Amino acid sequence: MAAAAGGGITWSVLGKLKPPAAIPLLVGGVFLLVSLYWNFTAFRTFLGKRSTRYGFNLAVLVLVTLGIISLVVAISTKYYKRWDLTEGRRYSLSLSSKKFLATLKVPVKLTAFYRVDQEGRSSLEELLKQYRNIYSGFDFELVDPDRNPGLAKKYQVTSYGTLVVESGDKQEKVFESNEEVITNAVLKVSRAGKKTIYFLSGHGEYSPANEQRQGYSTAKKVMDEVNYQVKELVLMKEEVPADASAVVISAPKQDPLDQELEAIKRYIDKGGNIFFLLEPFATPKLAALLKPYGLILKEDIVLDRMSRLFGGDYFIPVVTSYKDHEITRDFNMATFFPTARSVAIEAKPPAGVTAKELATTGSDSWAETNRKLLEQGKARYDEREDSKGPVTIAAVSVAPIKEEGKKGQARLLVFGDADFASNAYIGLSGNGALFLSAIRWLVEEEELITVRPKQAEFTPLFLTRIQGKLVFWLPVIVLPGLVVVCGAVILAHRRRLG
Amino acid sequence: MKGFFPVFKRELRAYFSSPIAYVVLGMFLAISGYFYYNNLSLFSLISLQASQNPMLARQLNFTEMILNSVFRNMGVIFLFLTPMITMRLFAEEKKSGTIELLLTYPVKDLGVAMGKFVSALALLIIMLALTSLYPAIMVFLGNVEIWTVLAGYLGVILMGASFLALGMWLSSLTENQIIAATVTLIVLLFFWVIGWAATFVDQAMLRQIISQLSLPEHLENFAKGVIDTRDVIFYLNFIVFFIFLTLRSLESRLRRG
Repeated sequence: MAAAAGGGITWSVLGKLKPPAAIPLLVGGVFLLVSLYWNFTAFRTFLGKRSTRYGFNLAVLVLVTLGIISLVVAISTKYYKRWDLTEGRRYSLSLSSKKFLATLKVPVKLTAFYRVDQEGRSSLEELLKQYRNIYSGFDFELVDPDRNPGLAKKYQVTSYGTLVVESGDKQEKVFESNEEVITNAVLKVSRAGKKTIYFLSGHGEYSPANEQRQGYSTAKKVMDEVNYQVKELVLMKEEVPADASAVVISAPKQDPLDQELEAIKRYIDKGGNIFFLLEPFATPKLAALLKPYGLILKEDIVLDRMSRLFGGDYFIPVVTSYKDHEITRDFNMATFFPTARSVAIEAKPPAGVTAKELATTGSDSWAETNRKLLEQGKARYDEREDSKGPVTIAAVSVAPIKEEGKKGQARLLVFGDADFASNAYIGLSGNGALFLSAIRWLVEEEELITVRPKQAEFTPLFLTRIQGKLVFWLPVIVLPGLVVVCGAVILAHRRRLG
Repeated sequence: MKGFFPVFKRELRAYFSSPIAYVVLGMFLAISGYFYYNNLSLFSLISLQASQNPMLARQLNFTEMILNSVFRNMGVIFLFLTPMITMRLFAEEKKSGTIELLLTYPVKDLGVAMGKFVSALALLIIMLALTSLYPAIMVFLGNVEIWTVLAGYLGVILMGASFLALGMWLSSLTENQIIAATVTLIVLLFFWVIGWAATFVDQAMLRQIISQLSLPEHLENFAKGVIDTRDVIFYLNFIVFFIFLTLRSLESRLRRG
């Protein structure tokens, strides 16, 4: 029997039935059988004894009970209720997230790249458990990028605290770990259908079908990768389609016709999103169209001395500083805008309109208005005519919808240059990233879910000296002391009695 | 359940006629009280910093920061005190021979077991009731989330009852109180520590299962103020299972006797 046991142990340790384990096992087995045969009668009596039978019964009973318990556990794991009694329901997902998750049908996987000792890891895990609790199709994994460089590389994770959300063939990367960001990422990867972006055509625009230097075919590829569909829009023939998530006007060589401009205005009034990429000294009517939205486009071109440092000439303004906006948050790459015009925001925009600057050139730049001098190659900063840098070359304006009873906004994104995202320059430095960030911001709107942060009030505690003493004496000395004294009294009393 | 009340009353009287109850109560209150005082003063210290640092302030919660770990600590303290409470439940009877008396009376095994169990539980509840001084003090000092506190107490009661059920069963297995107490401590520690061991297991499924067996793991939700039926069911299962085992053990004693 010992041999059999030894063999059994060796087997479990080695994990395989290799010769060292097999032999003692076999030998032990043989011994067992032999002893069984020799002591057969004794064995039989043993089996028959009441105590053995009782023991056997007991074992069965215990196993059955364990079985019942396991069943109960299994059922309770599937059908359970959870009450979050904390103030503000800190440990549950918000109602809006829950409502959204209830509509989900596709599996979603979230991979969070957090160092093992990173701050916020455990509270993130708690939060993600909530998602899994509510929606069984949600799965998550916390990965330490230092210990799993392969996985980090696969998702191109470059910073700690990156979360990658995937569903099907869609992927979304976010860098914040709060409920709102996560829920929206899940929303973006799980929704069916693609967003459609229409490029205005018919006026010599930079076309997504064009693979030459002034084409936007690379930009189109970038948009394909994030599941945006790119189509052409001929406004002379039709209105802006209802399924348009955004319209891009990429530097037409001439102004659109008046009726097209009207159609564009109508689209904006209905809450449309437009990306204007306008080249200098062109399309004055389009420039004028932007005035009611707080954006001023002058007839100028931005000259930047800093671009010489980067090996370009004065006509490629460099932007290294960005204003605070969702598009440019955490953006720290330089961007280059060959032949750009200024985009200024009005100090006092019309009611309801909010205009913000996005990107400005350095102080060594200015917006030159004198075309004659430019053509002669003798342009210089002239205080009277030109505006001194920093010059804004990208801005955003948000206007309210002008439709009865409807709420929402129209988003206008205006860049004073179209070349930065053209095939020739989109791969340069941060150009591609900026373009993508901009178009993504433009396209996402009402669907996104807002989650109100649930905070319990912070009630600070400032103990006075007396309070401090009380707080020590009462619980630590008085209460236990009382108990002991009571006890002593009672026991003494009993002893006296008998 | 014949015999429940007489046994219950007898046990309770026995607890309070010996130093045991008072010693256990006193120790529990003193140590818990100290942890409570510690947390409170710590919170007071941090409050000063937090009132100047809104980011920090957002992470601090009066009720939770102070009482959350107090509940957990009570769990640990109770883990060490349980052997002292349960060791005498059955072991002593066997030694003094009163167990024959008990088992041959016209009382059912179930009544006996439940009577003893509930008497120990009553001791636990009295202990916890006395600690209500802690949140009571806090009411004067700040904003206390009552329901969160109640959830925490519920968790501690359930976990404590689980300890007691286990201790009772172990006490029924041996004649010697010391052995009962020691083994109880060891087994309780096993169920406490098993949660840590789970972190060493790589396989996700196995890790989940093992950590679900851990007693303090299920206290976490309660301590935060979340009542999850899965945790409640776990503790109830635990309690029922060990009471069941106790009954089997009593039964076999009768046979052997």
